[in-house]
Amino acid sequence: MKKLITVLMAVAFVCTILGSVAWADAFPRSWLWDTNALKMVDTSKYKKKPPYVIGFSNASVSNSWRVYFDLQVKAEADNQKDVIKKFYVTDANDKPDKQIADVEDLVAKGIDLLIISAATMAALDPIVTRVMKEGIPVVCVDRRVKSDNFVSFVTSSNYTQGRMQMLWLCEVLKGKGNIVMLGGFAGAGPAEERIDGAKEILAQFPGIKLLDLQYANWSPAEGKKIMAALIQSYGKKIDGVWGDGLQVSGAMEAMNEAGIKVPVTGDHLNAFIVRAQEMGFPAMSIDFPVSMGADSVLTALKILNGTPVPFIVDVPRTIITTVDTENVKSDMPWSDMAHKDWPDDSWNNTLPPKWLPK
Amino acid sequence: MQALAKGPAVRSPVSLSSAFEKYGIYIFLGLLFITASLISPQFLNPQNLKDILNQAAALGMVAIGQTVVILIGGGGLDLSVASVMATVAVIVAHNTRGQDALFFPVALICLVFGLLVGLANGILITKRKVQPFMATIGMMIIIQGLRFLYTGGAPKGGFPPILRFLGTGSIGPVPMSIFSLAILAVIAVIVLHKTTLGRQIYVIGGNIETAYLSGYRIDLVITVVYMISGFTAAIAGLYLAGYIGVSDNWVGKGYELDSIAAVVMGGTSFAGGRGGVMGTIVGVLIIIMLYNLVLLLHLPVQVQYVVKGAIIILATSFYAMFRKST
Amino acid sequence: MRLSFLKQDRTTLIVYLVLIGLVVATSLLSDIFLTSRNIQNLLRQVVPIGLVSVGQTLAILTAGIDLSIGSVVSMASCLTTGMILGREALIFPVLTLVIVLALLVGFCNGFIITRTGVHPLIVSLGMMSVVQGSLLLYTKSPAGSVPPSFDFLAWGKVWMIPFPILLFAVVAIAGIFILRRTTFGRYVYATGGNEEVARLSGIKTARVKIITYMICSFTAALAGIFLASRMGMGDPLVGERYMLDSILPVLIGGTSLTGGKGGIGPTIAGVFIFTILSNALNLLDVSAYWQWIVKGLIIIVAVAFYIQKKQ
Repeated sequence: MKKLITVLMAVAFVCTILGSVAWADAFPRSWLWDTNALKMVDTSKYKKKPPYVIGFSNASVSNSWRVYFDLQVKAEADNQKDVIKKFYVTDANDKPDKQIADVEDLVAKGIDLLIISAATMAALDPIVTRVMKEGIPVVCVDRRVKSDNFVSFVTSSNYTQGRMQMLWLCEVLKGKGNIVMLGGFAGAGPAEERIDGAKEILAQFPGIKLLDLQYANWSPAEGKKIMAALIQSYGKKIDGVWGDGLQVSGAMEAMNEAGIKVPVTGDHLNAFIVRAQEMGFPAMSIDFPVSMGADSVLTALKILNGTPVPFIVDVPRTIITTVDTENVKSDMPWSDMAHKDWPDDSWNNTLPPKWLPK
Repeated sequence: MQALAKGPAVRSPVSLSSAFEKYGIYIFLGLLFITASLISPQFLNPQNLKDILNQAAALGMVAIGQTVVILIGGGGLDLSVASVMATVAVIVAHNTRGQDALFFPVALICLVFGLLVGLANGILITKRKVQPFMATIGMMIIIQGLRFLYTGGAPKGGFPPILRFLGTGSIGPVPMSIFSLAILAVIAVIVLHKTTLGRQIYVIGGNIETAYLSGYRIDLVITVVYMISGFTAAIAGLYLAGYIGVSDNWVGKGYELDSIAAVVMGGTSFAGGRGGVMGTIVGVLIIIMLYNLVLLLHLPVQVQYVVKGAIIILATSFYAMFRKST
Repeated sequence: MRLSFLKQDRTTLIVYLVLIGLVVATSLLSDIFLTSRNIQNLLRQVVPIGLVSVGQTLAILTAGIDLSIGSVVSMASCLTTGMILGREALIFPVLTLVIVLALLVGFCNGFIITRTGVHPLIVSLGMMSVVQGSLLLYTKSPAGSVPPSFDFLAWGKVWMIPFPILLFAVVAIAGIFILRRTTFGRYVYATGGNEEVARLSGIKTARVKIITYMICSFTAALAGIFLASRMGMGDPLVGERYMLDSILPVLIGGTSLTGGKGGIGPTIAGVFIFTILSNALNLLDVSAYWQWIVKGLIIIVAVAFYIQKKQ
């Protein structure tokens, strides 16, 4: 009897495993289910005695997200200065070609490890690959390079961001209505990835019609200009606005002036969160956390310590909404994230007070 | 140099082509307006026209200064205007913290800042003989660096209600900002056509030898011209900040090239000494209308680039051809 | 005429003195600067800027300017990788096509400028918009790939010397030769110096200008192809920086925007000054904001320092 139960249990166990594998296969594999996320990387060959020399090649500080991100990296490096002897920072002004030169300059300065936020995935790939070949470990942060030639990638997924924003928008509209999308910069990686993610979800909601997709260059000025024209063109037909960043705050100004209060999505830019509350827009926000800057430094130190690190470090993010939907719930009340005393152009961060821009 | 015999005082004989030279840009604007209202039913909405005017205001103000700089000739142009605009927006947000009471003193500081940048440009160009392209681009980069050092990259504060009213409010059906643009334009026209300064600008632009022989203080006039440009850029920065309402590091990005395009489309010649403010305003309206129209027609961003480029070339060529034949 | 050439040479001398001064100062301040690794990096960084600056020098010598250069660089990089798609056999046909297309852009620039008399700044600005827009219609994100052998262009070596340096040297020497030793070169100076006089003395100035803009686009295409090889992928936004980065070295080299004065020799010095400055600021660990200020100051001060006072 005991034997029978054991056999039955074993069979049931195997069936469950097989069944779940088959069940999982029915879903499209995407970044979220990428097994790379779970893969640990052995870093024993990079183990070194402190103090370290670390180089950080930043794509740019051309907008406030990047400024806060940059500060988080520097603040964490400063925090760890007992083990980091020298922390070099370069800024490529959004020019991939300059960034290649920057990386070359950093390597020439004899760094033990390179942290890079790549201006474009493709352009920086060869140089990062070359740096890895020389035995210098590379940590990608915020934006990765095309190949897998790095030790670890610290980020939050752009696709996920686009998907969650669109999922909330479609659900809050109950699967019916017309929306417009305001993208970032045409041709820029994060902008296109978020749009792609959003469109995947949009395809699941046949009742939602995309009226127009325009690029607002992550600029409030462009956002306002474009939204004003879209309002003229579609007027009350617009039921919702999908956006991924700075441009949304400008677009809200235009809608507010036209007396249109439709659901909008954005990210944790203070201007957006405070305005949505003040003007009374139904809104959802998911951040692309600036704190990933600090995580990249911590990951770098683990690597130099020989501790295994995940191939992809997914930095935790928060979602806030003014209205919860079936699948998108707020992690905290909207007002907790709205800091009226903070500058418009500031981001939810984990910076020590002395590092905050004055 | 080629405009040797064509001082401002010489009136060309009335002919069809000279009429075209004078009024071609207005005809073009009219045609664009009619086409736009025919192909897009929303174009003639009062609110849409108001949006266009609101957006034209800031560009128009920068372009007025740019016109004067280009009129002076000798490769004159001011590439530092966008940087001035952004810096002004940041100064206002930082120092008023959204309070009306502080607006006027801070706005005054902004205008002084614009004048100082113009003064620096002017001194570099006249005293050190640096080419205007070089001097103003260097200035653009320096101001950008100073701005980021000042804000630490994240502009603080907000815009006071007065500024928001200037940027978005209206008196009756007329947007406040277009009102201000009109005042500024009228002042510019008067200065250019009714004062000694204006006459000297045209003469220096037309033929610097003549100006020299007439004993004009050329260096002084050129410096004043760049100060005018810095000044109008500062005003434009204030209005644009008021219009957007969100502080940002890059208010006015792209306005340097857009303003130059508007000036040249409006018939002011790079050789100097020919053209004026009214043409520039029309050029500004054309650029903004075009941008608006492309959006109303739901064309993707790529097409916007192509159309914008093509129209800049077409409009200026159309116009230049008539000029050439005079 | 003679006198002006002498004066020109004086400017060239000063530009090179500034360059030497910069090199000496940087090597005193940073012990990494003169390592062979850093020098190799520098030389590689010089190549794309150098290529476009040679073309831009010609355009500026005719009293023109080419703002569309950046969009042509992007176009060349994207079309190269997008059409080759890793297939080795396609390298030469595609490169030919890319260069022909670039020449066409240059021709359009020159043709419109000479036919209508619209200022080159405006024509090339419009052209930039048109080319960039068309390119974004072709691809919005980085695309394409190149076969491994294509790497040679950016990373290969011929007797110890990196191939891109050779490429740049050949283009620069060809440029100097054309300007100094050929009739066409004389025509370029004459056209830029005084177009009216040049035309009256029988020079077909329109043709000279058109060819100049075609050369300009050609060097931009070379830079784009080089970048495609360096990055292994085309990028529709990669060329943006070259609009300014091609003009500044030319002006730092003392070539005048009013045309007819200057040359490729001083431009090359300008390119090195510009690149070494970036490299030095990085090596000296100067923060981004201060880098902007220092660069702006140097652009103005350096130029103000050696500029000739007009009489």
